[in-house]
Amino acid sequence: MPLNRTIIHLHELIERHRSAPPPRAAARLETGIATLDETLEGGLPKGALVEIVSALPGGGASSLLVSLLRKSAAASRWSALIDGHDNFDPASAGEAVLSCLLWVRCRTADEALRSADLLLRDGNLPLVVLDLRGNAEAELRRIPTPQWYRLQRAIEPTGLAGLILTPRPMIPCAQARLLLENRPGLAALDDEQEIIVRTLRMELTRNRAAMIQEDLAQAG
Amino acid sequence: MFAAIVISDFALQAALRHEPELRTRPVILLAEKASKAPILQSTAAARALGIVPGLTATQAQTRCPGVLAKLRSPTAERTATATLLEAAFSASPFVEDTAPGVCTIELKSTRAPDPRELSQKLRAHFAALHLDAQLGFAPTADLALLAAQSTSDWRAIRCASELADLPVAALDPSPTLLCIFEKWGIRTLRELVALGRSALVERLGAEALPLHARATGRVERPLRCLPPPEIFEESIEFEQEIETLEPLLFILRRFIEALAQRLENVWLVAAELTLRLTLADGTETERTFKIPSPTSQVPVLFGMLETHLEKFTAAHPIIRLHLDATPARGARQQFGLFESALRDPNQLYETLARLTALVGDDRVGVPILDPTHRPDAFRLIPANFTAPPCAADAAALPLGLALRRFRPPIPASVQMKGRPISLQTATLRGPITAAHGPMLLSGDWWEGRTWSRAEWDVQIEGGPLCRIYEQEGAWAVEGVYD
Repeated sequence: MPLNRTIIHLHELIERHRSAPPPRAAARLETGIATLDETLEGGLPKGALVEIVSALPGGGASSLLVSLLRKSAAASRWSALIDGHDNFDPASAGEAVLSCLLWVRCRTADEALRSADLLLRDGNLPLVVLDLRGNAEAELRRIPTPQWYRLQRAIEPTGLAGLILTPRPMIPCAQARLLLENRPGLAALDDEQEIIVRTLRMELTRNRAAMIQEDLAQAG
Repeated sequence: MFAAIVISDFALQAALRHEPELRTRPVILLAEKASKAPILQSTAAARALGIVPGLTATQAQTRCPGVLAKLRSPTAERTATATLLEAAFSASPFVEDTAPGVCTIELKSTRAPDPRELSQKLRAHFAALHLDAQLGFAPTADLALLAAQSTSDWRAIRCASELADLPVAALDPSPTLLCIFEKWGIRTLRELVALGRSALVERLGAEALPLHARATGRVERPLRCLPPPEIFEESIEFEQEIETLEPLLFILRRFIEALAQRLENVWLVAAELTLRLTLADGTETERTFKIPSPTSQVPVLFGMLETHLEKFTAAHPIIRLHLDATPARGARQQFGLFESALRDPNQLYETLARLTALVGDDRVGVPILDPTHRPDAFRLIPANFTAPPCAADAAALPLGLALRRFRPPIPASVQMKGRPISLQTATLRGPITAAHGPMLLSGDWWEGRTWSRAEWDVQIEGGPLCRIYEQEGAWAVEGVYD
């Protein structure tokens, strides 16, 4: 009995897919921060969201953020910081960093998400950081899950690097998730920022690219 | 060769330029709003109903109750003149503003353009700007003008004899001379020329001499050439006050299209747009839009104004709209190999406008630290994305952990024993295991706004590292080192 045409076509599609080369590694935006680049296997993935979770106040996320902005400015790149609860301290960053920074001071998480949506769709600034650590838990709970997928869809075609700082894991579509758990002492106030960031403990708790590779390897 | 562009009923066409749908309806133009005001000009539909210049507005109403009266607008005429001259400059740099609605061009180039092509191009241009123009081409300026007046489209002539059938009135003689010609039965240029130059002068004096010279095409006067125009503006005074956004955007779109067309004609682009709205109470609001990547693209220019107007509110309706474009040469910039250019500066400008509408004017921008020791002293300035960002100087970086500020600072109660030993706020509480301070800060005493405070960096047991301060006897947590 002749095989159904649809089944033949499906067979062909599966064979083509299995013989296809593995997907190309996503382009990365090298941050210049050795620990971050190593953990993320080359830097922030372009066209994807990376979540950095800093559950404890004082976990080191602000120092990491300032260092990231400084490296971006050193590479003559503009960055955008969407400050969910207006907690950024410009004096901690220094004038040289500020000259390449677009700062959006939001009052609520809703404002911050809408601002992020605009800037990610715009696609002009290579690094967009959304900081939601200062927003109240009640506000964060109200963010619908599809909103994160909307941001993910917005950034995909642009080639930007999107970084979201959160107080707890909350982005289901994040390409990678880093956990920051640090408790610096008073002595750290006299250290150079470079050293502080180098000694930050960060743990990669989610790596979607690696998960996809594993799935493909198992399937192949 | 010379070319003349004539816009007949210029004042009326200028007044109806932004309402082209009225051009086919009976419309009259008045100098003032009065029932006995004489009609200056009227549309073809009005003339067909017997409403001709010289009648009064009341007489026009009697002949056609639905006739629409418009007031003469000097502003509209000025912008229409600018439009006319810009179109003329697109054809040649030698342009004369001959009369209202009339300009003459000298086509000096060795490769003189084909009159058909040029007239089609210019007429299409004027049609896009809702103006109806007649064009004439001739060896002299005066003959070109007569040729333009003799047609409703365009006409090219080689000698004066081709205009022999024109009425004598086309030479614009004085009323006395015109009356004499009528009595003599001289109605066309052919009949006038046939009289002979000396015979005319003998009978009518020296006044007839220039008429004969124009009729025979012997006048070769030089043009009073104008410098190329640099003003690109459009404005309209609304007869009915505007209260909603839609009609305003409708007119603005037409303004933008007209300005973009005018700019393109002289190979320029808009670097800045200035929008001025006059409200019913006489107040004016003005907003200037800097265009990061100068352009003459209508959607980009219109998008900027639209975004601004979407959030614009006014206490009174709008009675006048003025739009001014600052011209600039098109960008001819080559970026450096390692210089990161913006993909679409105009899109970013649009996004910034939307961000500003979302969070407020004072909450988007590039932060600048104020030259003071006052804590949290900064201001936001608009980002200048056109200048490439300068690489950050690592040596200028502050030491230590970055502060995560609480705005406003969180009031706290602090127990002291030589140094802070415990802290209590709504969210943070506990004994202080280590403290560094006090750092005494003060300033602005010379401005009468004296402030002074004592800052401490404290480590809360099992908690974060905080900056707290005492000012005027009250304690507060300024932020957390993070």
